[in-house]
Amino acid sequence: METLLKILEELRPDVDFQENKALIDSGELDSFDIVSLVGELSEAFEIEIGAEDIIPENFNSVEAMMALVTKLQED
Amino acid sequence: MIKELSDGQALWQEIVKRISGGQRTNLFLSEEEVLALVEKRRVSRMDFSGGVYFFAQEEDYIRLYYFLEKKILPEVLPVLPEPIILEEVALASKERMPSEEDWKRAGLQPYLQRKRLYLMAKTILPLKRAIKFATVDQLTEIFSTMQDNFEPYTSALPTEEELRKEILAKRVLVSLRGKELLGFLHFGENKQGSMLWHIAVMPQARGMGVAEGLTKDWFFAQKEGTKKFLLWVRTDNPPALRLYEKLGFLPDGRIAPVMIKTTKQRG
Repeated sequence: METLLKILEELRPDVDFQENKALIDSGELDSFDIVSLVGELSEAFEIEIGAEDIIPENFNSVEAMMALVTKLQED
Repeated sequence: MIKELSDGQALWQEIVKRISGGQRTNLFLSEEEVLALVEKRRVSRMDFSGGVYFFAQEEDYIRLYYFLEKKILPEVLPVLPEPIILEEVALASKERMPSEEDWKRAGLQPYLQRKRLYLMAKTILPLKRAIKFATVDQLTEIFSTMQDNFEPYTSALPTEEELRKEILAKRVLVSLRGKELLGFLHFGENKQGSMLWHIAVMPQARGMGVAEGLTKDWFFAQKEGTKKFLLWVRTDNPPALRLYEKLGFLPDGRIAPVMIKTTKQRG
């Protein structure tokens, strides 16, 4: 979780990630953030994020992102 | 070999696949934007080992999008009839990949750079201002000032018809002395907040605080409906950087370097 928060805070210092649970739906994260995140998460957690994983539900909150990472690490 | 594209949906599928494969890119468009791009612009592609270039034909230049596998360097760009423009978005804190040197070897030269600044609306002190929106009779003057004063390739300049709509929608503020136009500010709204698109001060009115006044007018016009004010500023414009800093804007870490391959041959 700490690594994920560090990545997010570096990417978007202006966003409150603990508070916002609709990061995609509210438009807080844009496509630059998503593309950057896919690259960063793949590298940091040694996972492969498939095209089918790049959906709003997986990126709307820190918890959802962590769940995606955990799921892909188990696969 | 350069091939023309016609299937937007196939391109979108390819883009998603390349992104999920961790390829580096400057293409951050949504599905709708990709479909519109293929429909409205002539888009062609050049494939090479470990990557691909997409060339989108704009009015008088060619916009370059790329995808590159990790550790693959950009291929040398082909000679095209119009300037090639590469606009990237990156984080100031991270090393740019590919680097400026890598792109120079591919045929591009640095052109300009912008950085993004933001200001949270809740941090702005209450202010009351008598603001003025542009009217349609100012359209021609504002439009020609935009054409003459903004960098032509990446300033997202509206067409005259689009500007007319923006004026009617009350998204263009003006500063006046009597009937004389001293400056204007064009803003827009997106999901993240209120975005300053264009601001200009007439030469005879510079140094009179017109830009500061217009920026405060923008706050006043949008403060209730937005949580964040955003803008991109050129890093070679110290007066603008000083003004935004004075008003409390902070960098959010995002930079947008632009590079160009002109059509002129070196001789």
